[in-house]
Amino acid sequence: MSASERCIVVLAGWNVGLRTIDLMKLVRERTSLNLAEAKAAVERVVDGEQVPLTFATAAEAQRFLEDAAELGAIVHLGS
Amino acid sequence: MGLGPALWSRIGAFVIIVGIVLLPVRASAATFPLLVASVPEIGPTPTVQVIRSNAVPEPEATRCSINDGPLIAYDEPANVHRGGGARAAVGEGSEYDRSAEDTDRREWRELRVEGPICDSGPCLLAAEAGASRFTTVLAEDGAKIVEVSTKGGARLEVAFEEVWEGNTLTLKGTHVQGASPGQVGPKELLNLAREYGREQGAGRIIVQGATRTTSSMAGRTPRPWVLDVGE
Repeated sequence: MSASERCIVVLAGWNVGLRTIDLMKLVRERTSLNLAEAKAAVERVVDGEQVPLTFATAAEAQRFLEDAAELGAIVHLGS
Repeated sequence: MGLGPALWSRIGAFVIIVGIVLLPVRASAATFPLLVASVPEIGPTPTVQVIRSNAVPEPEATRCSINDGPLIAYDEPANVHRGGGARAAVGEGSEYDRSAEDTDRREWRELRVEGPICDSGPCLLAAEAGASRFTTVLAEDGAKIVEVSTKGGARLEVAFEEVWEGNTLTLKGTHVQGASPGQVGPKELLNLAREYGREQGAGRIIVQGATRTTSSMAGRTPRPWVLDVGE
């Protein structure tokens, strides 16, 4: 897997207890999405869609993945 | 002068009768302390007043922290966290996820009430003191995250999109976060919604809840609330 492939994180689902507002804040803070877009992205995930998010570096993607998982999101690195 | 046999027999009979009469009384006397020990309603009258030593600190007065109380009822059955699995896991099993609880507790510790906000004693609710209970945390492109102080002293975060039609304010996709189950009831949420509508100058407020992700309601989308705000 190349470095560029590692810069995509897929929000693939959620666990019961997901803290949606914290996830919105996290998406807003770590990506180029504004609050409305971050909210829409989280709601799509809650409704069962998979939402890919792009990050500038692999390290940022990894950090987001870990933090989102802690909030109750099911995430994985995308390609 | 000796006593006659008739008198001795009378004295003997008297002693026997007295013994028979006193037997149940003695039995009751033996049982009574047990009753006192086991039935609190008839407990002993205190004859010695116990005075608190100066070394024992005064019980703490009403605290202004949301860390008081609510967490005791935190682990109610409706709040079972389930790990491993997304929406498919909803309604299945009841595996308790301690890490999720720890995370929530960490979050609660961070959410300390800064001002004098509590529901009793010398503290005043922010709204009663004339201040707004709503503090906008983030606002951008139609979506808002608002911080709310509840009567119980908890702080909630509420995210939504505002849509105006005439004097009707609709809060679309409303998410609420920050309270443990049962801490903030529907009645208070309704009042908060009305209060927010009033602050925004709406005549009617419609709250469309987003799909729930916590408690036994996870995966369900609540019905919208339509509320006349009034004066």
